[in-house]
Amino acid sequence: MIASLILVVSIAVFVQFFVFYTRSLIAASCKHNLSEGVCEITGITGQRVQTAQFARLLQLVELCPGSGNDEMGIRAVRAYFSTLSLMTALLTRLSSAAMTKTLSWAEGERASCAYFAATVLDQRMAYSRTLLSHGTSS
Amino acid sequence: MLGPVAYAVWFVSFALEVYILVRAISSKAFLRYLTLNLFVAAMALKEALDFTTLYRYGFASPQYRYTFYYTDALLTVLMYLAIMHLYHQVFREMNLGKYIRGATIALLAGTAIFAWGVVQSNTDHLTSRFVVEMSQDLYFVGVVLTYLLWAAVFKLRETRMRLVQLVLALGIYFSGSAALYAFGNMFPDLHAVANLLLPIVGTFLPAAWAYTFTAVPESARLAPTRLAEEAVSHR
Repeated sequence: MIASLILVVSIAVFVQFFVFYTRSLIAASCKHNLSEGVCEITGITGQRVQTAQFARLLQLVELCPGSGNDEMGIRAVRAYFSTLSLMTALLTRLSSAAMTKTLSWAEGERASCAYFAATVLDQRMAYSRTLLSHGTSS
Repeated sequence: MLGPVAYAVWFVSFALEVYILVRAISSKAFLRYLTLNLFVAAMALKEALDFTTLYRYGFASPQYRYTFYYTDALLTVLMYLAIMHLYHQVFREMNLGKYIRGATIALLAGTAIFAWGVVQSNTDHLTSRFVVEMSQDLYFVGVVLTYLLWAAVFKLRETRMRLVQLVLALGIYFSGSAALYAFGNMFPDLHAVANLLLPIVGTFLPAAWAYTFTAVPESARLAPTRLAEEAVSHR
């Protein structure tokens, strides 16, 4: 009885903490203005990143060398995005008003994840450029 | 027997813990986060001790099992001190240090009395089932403490991003561990699932803290209320 209560409460708290933690990682990226370079490469127009671009952006991130500081954040956001995608796939079949609201929330969150990926790519490109300029100047 | 993935997770955990300590010392931040760093040092020590016991006695040995669970229980108690350090950080401007120290002593005394009582009434069967149950309870106390801390962070509009992320990572670690121990306790036949996931949850904490200490500057600010908004809006 106690074990089942602990299990249920802990899972509920875990989900809440996980969502807040991932959002704290994403929130930091939201202040970042994407450079023209990254918009050009990825085809992003304005400062809005489409959810569908998330996977491609992460592929580009993997191709671009970085300082290694962002790996943990990428993993957490990738897990969050996958969970949201799974949730969206499950809820799409249901069509009540509450589900529609949840779906639009999930879509907004996934768009934030995509923006995070674009920001990481932008930062890695800037890092590579700095490395390159140091290499050519020395 | 442990597989290569389990050994890899183990090694990554140990490496991350050493990294946090080296970074804290090199950036002269060891004393600023003293309790957290002591906790990380204890985690690294536990990993080393577990590995030595495993190497000497084998995975199925009672020596390894007891070393694993009892050092884990001791580590959880040490973690309470780390949480109290974070409480101290959150309430530092309200001069509540005296009360927090009192609460820490009361909490440790309560835990000691609870553990003593449980051990007294279970001396004839200090089995792995018992230690799983004890770990589940200790971790759950950690969940409650971290949740209250998070509520305080939220209510007091604490904006230090490092602190926010340290608390959230701690919450994930405690709630994940408590859930897995409770699962293992409820379904002893499926304890392999819990055993597989526990090291991953255990690695998350040093990984998240290493990330926070590396990528989040001391001056970074974030309003926790933003995290509860319907969607994190970007520019």
